[in-house]
Amino acid sequence: LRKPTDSLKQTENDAAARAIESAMEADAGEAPPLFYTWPRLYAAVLIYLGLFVVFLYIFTEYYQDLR
Amino acid sequence: MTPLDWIVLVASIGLMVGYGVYKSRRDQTIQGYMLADRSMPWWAMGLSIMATQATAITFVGTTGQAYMDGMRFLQFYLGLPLAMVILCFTVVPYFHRAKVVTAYEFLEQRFDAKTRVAASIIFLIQRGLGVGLALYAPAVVLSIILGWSEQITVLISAAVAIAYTVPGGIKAVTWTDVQQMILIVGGIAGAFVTALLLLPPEVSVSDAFFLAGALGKMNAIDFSFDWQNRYNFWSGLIGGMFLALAYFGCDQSQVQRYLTGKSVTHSRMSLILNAFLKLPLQFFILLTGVMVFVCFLFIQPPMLFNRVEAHRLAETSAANPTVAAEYQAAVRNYEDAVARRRRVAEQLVESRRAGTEAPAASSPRQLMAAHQAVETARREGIDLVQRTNEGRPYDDTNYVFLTFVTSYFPPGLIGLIIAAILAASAISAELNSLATSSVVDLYKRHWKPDAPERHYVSAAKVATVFWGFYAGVFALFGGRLGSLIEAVNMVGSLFYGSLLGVFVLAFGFPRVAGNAAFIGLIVGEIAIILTSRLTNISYLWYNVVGCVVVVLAGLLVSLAAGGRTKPAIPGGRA
Repeated sequence: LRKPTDSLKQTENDAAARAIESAMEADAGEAPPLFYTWPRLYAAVLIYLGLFVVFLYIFTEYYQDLR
Repeated sequence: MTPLDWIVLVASIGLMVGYGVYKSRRDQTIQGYMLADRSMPWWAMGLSIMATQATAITFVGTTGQAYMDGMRFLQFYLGLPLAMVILCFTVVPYFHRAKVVTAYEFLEQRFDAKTRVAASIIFLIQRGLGVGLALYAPAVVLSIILGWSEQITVLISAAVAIAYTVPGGIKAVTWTDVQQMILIVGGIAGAFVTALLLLPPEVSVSDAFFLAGALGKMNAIDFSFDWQNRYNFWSGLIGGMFLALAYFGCDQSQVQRYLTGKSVTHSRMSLILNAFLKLPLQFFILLTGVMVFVCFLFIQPPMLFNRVEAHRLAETSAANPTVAAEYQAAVRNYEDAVARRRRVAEQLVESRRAGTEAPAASSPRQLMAAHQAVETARREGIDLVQRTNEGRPYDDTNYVFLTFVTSYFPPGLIGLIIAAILAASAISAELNSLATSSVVDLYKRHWKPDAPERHYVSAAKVATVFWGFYAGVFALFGGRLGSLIEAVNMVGSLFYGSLLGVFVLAFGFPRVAGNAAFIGLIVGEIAIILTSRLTNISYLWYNVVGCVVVVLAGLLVSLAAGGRTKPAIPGGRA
């Protein structure tokens, strides 16, 4: 059997979480100042990371080949 | 330092501190003192977050690390952009909308009070140790400039940091960080240009890069997988991502920064700014350290970069003929080896410019051999220092860049660089977050819940003083830990994995309740300690181990206890 305090705690958690979720939904409409939408901005970060790794690879290989 | 340097130094620090304190003069509430009334723009928060990690330790530690070990430390940051993206769509909106002052307050909302306290205590221990290392960095600077022992300069640095942080609050910290970031970038750029200008006229930038490459310093990426290799692509991407997730998602010193944002968008953008700028900034800083190394191929570097220790050794040898003979032999060997390395480097550059094959005596392989001879000769000097100092370990990685700055920078610029280092906003931000967590998570929650706001602000100021002294005591041991930038991240990695694990449980596993999370946290921390003690796995992996063990232990306990019947977080997996 669950204690009464457990269910009370869970109800409080659920209420707090619902409040957070509704706030997040409201925020979802706020566009970032770059790339128009959040998914596009996140994709831009990942593409940037990939390009940076490629740059580091070329940089390292170039100077290693000179040795 | 010249009088001009002193004027620039005092004026720069005075202006920065005065401006920060002026901006926060009316903060008499918890929200004001600890969260800047949630009024900060994203670019200021973003620069402040970067400045926290890029202050004295960056100048002193990262450049020294590059001098000794090349560019490979850059891989440490490869996981950071990934972590920023993950945090942007997970914890940032939750923290922001839950209106919490500390990250651990959220854990009580989600789990229970004991999990919050445990996480808060883990944070206080690890950040307290980390701030000690951060404090040691400006102490090294003062030690070099003034020629005083590190013990004295640690005490001075602690006193300055406390005096500056206590009246200011988070707003002062953030605004001074912004100025400091500008100073840092300017200072590093100045160092890079100075290093290039000091090269002999016949050595171009391209030649300098070539020499660095020939000596294995341009090793920016390594795709080979090895658990024990401290920095490779995999440890950086995976271990570094876990470390960054924990650092930016669970460490109050970072969370508190983006909680000061006007909205979730501002908080997210501050992290995205880091995702874009951190890697190129670190690349540039490490490249500057490498250029200092190349510069010292043509300029005689000191055998011992720590002047205080070099002076002590000279005094010891003056009083002891046996030590004197060994000292003179070590210096002679070192100078001969450096001269030979210089000759080989010059010949190599000459052949390269002439487009001819380098003669056998000056091939890249010979340059490497000459460099190893320099390192061996330097090792003799270091051994002598340790033997004449009761066997205490000697590591002067953190002195390389400062020796370069104080020896070769033009008057005025030295003062500016030292000001940037001594601004020590990193420690002020960390002291502020330690005080915040101590007061909000422990004092206000468990000892005095109903006092007026002013009381808590006063308590936070007292806590700031306490943590400043705590950091000072730990900083006294900083010199024995080698490279500061490595030491500070190794200390963090001992604790961050388990902290991250408990937050993963909070966000990703709604059925897990307080007891399971608490037990998972403890088990995870034990697992990290055992891993560090019993294995040779590189420290970046501790973050992965800790996180995974906390999650698994939490899930197992939760299953054994029957779990919850409803998801605690709507949108989570029920």
